[in-house]
Amino acid sequence: MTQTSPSDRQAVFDTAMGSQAAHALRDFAQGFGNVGLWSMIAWRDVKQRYRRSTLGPFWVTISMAFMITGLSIVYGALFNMELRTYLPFVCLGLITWEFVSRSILEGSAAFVQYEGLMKQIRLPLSIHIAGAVGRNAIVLAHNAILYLVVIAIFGINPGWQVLWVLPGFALVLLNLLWAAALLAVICTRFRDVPLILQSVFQMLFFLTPVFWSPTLMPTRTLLVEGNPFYHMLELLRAPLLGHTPEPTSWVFLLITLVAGWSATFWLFSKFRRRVPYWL
Amino acid sequence: MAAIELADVGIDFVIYQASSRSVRKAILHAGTGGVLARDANHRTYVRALSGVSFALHPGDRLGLIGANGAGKSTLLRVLAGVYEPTHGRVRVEGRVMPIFDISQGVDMDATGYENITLRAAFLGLARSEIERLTKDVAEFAELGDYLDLPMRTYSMGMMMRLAFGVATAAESDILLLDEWYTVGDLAFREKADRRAAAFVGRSKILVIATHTEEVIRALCNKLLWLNRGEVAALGPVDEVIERYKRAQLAGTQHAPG
Repeated sequence: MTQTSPSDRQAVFDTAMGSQAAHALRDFAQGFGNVGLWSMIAWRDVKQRYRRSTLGPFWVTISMAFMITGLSIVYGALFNMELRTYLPFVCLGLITWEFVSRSILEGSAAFVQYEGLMKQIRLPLSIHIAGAVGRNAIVLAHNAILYLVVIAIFGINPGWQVLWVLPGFALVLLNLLWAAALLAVICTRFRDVPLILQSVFQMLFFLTPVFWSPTLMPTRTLLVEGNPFYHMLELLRAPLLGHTPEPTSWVFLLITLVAGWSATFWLFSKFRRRVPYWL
Repeated sequence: MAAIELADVGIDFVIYQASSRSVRKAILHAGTGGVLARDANHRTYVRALSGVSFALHPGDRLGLIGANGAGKSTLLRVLAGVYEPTHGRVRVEGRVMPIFDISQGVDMDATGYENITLRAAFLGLARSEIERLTKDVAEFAELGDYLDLPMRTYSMGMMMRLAFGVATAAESDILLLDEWYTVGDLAFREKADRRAAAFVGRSKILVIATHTEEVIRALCNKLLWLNRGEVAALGPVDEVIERYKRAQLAGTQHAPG
């Protein structure tokens, strides 16, 4: 039998020790902090979903390519836009939308998905959130190939502006994490919510400037300026197309970051320990 | 140092299903399971555990007995830290290895080897530790080339071997077992027995829920009889088993002596 030192991870679990807020904080720190475990969960999920298929996650990329081509041809003609500017816009719109919406939708279903595991092994709740978002980041990385193909075909050089995508991605990611964590608690308790979310996101796909340019609709400012999904898409899309994102997008998402994490932290403090009971 | 301490632990499950009234009726007539009650918000809830207090120290091997639905599995989950109790306090010191429903939390399409790694990672083992114990698990489970096949092709007993192997290969302080004997064949049971005995021999804590008297006699030095979520008796194996049997003969599970 393998002998290892048990003292290297001496665990003390005491329900009377520390406030609920401290427990919630520890949950996030231990969950998001355990990069090794959640990245393993994320990779495992991607592999599991596409096991026994030859192309694996690239099937998503391929279907995405078809969608981009189809939308660009039809709406490019309808909006009367040049394919050279419209197709890269649609390409990035769809790729980033897929990442943002799937992260929230799958993140909110994470506890229910891992019910069997959660009822056996004590793990930080947030590890499942990180796993679901991480899984979609892996898919995003696969889809990013389409972007490279598109800029190669159309000879687009985004220039140094492209570096804005790094802080942009970080801000988007931190926003997605709270949204997924918050909704995961709610979706576990109220099983109608995930179904509602599905329809809501279907509608948001059309309401958000994913495949239509906000310049086409100057009067509908609420759908653009007041839409967090627009700002998330912009922070990723604009730099990759060679533009600097609007300062309003940064401000908007910094505000949602603070407000969102405050709400999520409060919810976790209050209901974190109830979640396994709801499974 | 391994230690478990429970003080007046209670677990309430609120029933959220729309027809909680009929659920209530159904469980009331079942004569087993937790006690049903209503809280101030008129929600029906099952009191799965109530007023459970005990302490375990290194070398304690506790058996849990009681009818189906008496709260054995819930108690194990409390010890595993899955359910944080609605009343009372739980304190668990040491590294806990739970072996519950083994078909849950495995990736049926992944190979045996992949599942060893996965399970070990979920149990909190470091990567270096996992590599070291994989060979040990493979040897113990005696699954041979099956370890290269997807788990879908495994029987329950084979899955059990793998799960038990992983949990006992890693060094831990507290081992929690739920009815795992029922699916193993005789050869496996003897082997698992020895492994569990070796584990408890290193003055660790073992808690096992079982219906099998020979398992209790082989592995336990303490016995806890749960009746509808409450401790009916706790003490030396012979004494509690005697009382449990007498109560069963008398046909009443409801009035513990």
